[in-house]
Amino acid sequence: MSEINPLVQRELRSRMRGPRAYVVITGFLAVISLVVLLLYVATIGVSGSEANAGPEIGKLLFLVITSVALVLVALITPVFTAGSIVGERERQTLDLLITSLLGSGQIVLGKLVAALAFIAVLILSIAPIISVSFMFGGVTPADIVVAFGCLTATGLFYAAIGLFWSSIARSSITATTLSLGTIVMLLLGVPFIGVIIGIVVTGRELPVWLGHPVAITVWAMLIDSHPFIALLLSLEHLANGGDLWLQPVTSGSPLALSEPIGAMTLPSPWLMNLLLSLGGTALLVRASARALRPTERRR
Amino acid sequence: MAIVATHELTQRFGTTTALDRLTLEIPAGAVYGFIGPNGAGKTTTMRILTTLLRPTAGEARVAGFEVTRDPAAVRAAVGFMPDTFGVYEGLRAWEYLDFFGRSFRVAAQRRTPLIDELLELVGLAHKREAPVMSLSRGMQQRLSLARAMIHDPQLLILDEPASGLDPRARIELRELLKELGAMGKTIMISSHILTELAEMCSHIAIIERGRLLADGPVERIMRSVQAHRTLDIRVMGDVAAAQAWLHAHPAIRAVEPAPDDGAGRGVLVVDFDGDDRAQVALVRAMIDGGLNVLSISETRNNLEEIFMRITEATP
Repeated sequence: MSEINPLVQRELRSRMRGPRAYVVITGFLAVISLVVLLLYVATIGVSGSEANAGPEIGKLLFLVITSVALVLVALITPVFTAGSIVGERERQTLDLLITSLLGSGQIVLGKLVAALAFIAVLILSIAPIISVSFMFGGVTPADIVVAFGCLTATGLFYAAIGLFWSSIARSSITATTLSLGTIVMLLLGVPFIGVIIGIVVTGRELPVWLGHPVAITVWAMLIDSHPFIALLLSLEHLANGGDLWLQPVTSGSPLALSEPIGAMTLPSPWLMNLLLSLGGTALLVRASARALRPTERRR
Repeated sequence: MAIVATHELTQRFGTTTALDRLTLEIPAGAVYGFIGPNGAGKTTTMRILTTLLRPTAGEARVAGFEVTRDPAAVRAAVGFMPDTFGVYEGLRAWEYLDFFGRSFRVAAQRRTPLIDELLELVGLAHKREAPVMSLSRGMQQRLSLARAMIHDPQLLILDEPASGLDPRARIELRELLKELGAMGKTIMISSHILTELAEMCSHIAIIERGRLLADGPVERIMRSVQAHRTLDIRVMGDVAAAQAWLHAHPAIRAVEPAPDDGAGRGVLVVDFDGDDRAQVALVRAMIDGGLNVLSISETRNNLEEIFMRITEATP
């Protein structure tokens, strides 16, 4: 029977022994709990007497918990992975790893899986808090799939971003700064491009090729690459009776920049986000592995 | 059979040439001392042989495998101990070895007994459960040596293993390496402190400014630089007259009182140009010349002197 990647075992062993892991989990849950508590007090005060307030409060709590968790995962994940490879360099242990029989891919994947295992603990630890929103009703199993899908995709891709910078940078501080900078650029860049495009297209006759399936797919990929937008669009799509996995693109859809368009179907925004994250992660892992052993010939 | 063979190995960093057409061979079973001052190219050579650095030109083979074409096979054949001990927080001594055992694909059922054997060998069996961070520098170096041997490599490459160790830890490490040499391990060991290597090496290479100045069995290197020998001659009575007599001898190049002869023991250090037969003739001539010779002994030049002579001769 093949053994677990030695790096995964070592990382988890040493990480869970220190106090840092417990401090992070406690802080993570404390922030989310506080937000939920404040929101609960606020909404009960406003809509406490309305007959159908329960499902509305439930949906709102669910959205806020998921969003706060998404923000925290987006910020915590790259910090964990940004120190992983460059940390080996700083501890002067990287040469020992490189001269072992571990392949470059194994080293990078070991680091990634170890970080993701911890992120998975973080994501799963919010389950009891999310369950508070179930008491009010209005939250469907499909909503939960969407939320955990977006959280997983974000954790995966942003961990890979941190890992990539960690394989290139010469210090942990540089790697962390570059990772958080990249993530901020991604989070702000996509809405910025969306706003610019919105301003440009308003009141104009746009070229017909923008209605081509390829153009629509590229546009959808750009929008859905943003985890918050993907989360909101998916939840809205579900609230309107849409399918969990697919989204039909029709005239009038935000994706239809130019009319007329042919009938087409794309993966649901959260699924698109997950697929893009998987692809981006694969590319970044490959680039990180190459950066690890620059001395080797490429075949 | 040579376990390491380099041919015209060259490494340039920008305009600096760190290694200049280095050609050397390390026979299997040798304890090979790689001697040179800081910046001579020792670490660069070792980094190429451990696949950490790609040479600019030339070829290097370890256990028959070319380092750039078959790096995985080279890594399997080499146990590397860099000049720094990498610390993993939160790991115990046995876990540290277990991690590297896994990284070198040592089978699970073999790992546990092997870890105990290695800890025993390096004298750390009693520190099995101790956190790596809590070990002294000398213990960390010995643990590092155990790590380098976890996959039973054909060759151990040790880069300045004694640097930063206190005298006791140095002696312990030296004894350990002598033991490994006696076990038949091929060891390549670098140092800029020559006395460290004097006792344990079977072969030496002297490198300076990226160029190999001499290499081969220690005895051969010593013979090649010892065309003349150093004799300590102790005389009784008029030491100054004895010094003058010796100075006039045609086979004697220099005569000086011994540096530590403050007690007036009458010891003269003589730089003698001749073989055993000539030395017998010198002793007879001294007696016939009326010198009161108490004792005569040949001083073995140590590696430090050899190194100084070889590097002095280099332009």
